[in-house]
Amino acid sequence: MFSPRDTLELGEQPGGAIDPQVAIELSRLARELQASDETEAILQRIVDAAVSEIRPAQHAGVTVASKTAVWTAAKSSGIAAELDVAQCRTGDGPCLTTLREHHSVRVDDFSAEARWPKFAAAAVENGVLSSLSVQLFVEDDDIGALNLYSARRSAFSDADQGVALLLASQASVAVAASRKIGNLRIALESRDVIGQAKGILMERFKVSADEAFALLITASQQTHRKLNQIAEELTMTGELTLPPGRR
Amino acid sequence: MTHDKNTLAEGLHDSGLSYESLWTRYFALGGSRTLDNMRDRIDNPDMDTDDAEHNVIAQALNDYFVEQGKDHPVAYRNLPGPPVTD
Repeated sequence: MFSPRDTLELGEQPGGAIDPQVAIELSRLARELQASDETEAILQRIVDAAVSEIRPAQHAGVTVASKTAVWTAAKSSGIAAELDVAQCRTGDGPCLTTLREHHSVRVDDFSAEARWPKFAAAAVENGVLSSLSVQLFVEDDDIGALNLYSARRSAFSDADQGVALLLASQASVAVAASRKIGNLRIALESRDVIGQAKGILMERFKVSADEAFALLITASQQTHRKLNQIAEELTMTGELTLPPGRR
Repeated sequence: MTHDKNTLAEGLHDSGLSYESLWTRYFALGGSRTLDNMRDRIDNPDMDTDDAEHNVIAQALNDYFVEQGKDHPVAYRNLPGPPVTD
């Protein structure tokens, strides 16, 4: 069972004072992340900051879970990735619990941990005795968690948990913004291709832009494919699948 | 086989997409309205007289359903037929 001190909701304030120097570093990090629009780079920066600003953290990693897969999106060392693999292999562990139940999980001693015995054994094998997992973000179908590991027992304090949650909040904002920018870039590229495809059809059939778009819809229905695939094919090959006898 | 039966609002509900996610898809297809305007068109279909814009939103939803292995369940409106050629 979770004791009151090893679970914390995202956004909840834990006890323990945060070192002023750490607060300055976190503030600098927030500005850095604001200027970054690559999700992978943001997550790696969060992992690096976790290891440098949370003293007991010797290894850190970001794990992302979708509906169909769990993967390591960023890591400070091979140990973090190794422990992700161990959680996937055993089907359970503190990180997966954080991803599944959306709260932070702190483990003080893996050598005496009964909640996930197989994973605890893997942790001890890798020289890890305590850990802290906090939820990072929920974006579309993906959920992320930041995992910190230490070779010491009871390594993570309430203040460490507070810093981890602040990092998580910064990551959530930065990842949401970067994904939005990424989606708009993809949208602009698609829009351009569809514009070209409409132009080809307007010239070929002497139709309006709306009628050209309707032709792309008809081809999408006929072939059970997405409209931008139809448009891409048309711009590459000049071919468009329409109902027989109408082409 | 195409089943043109769902309204935009029904399609959006069934997809589970947010208005914002749908708007990005709509924008990617060449849609030119704002997010608020697109939302109004979905929520107040009787006020929407622009068939072409309606069909861009419908296609954005249908593309999502194609990704899920479903076949164009959202209805288009007054979709022009293909041109007759020689």
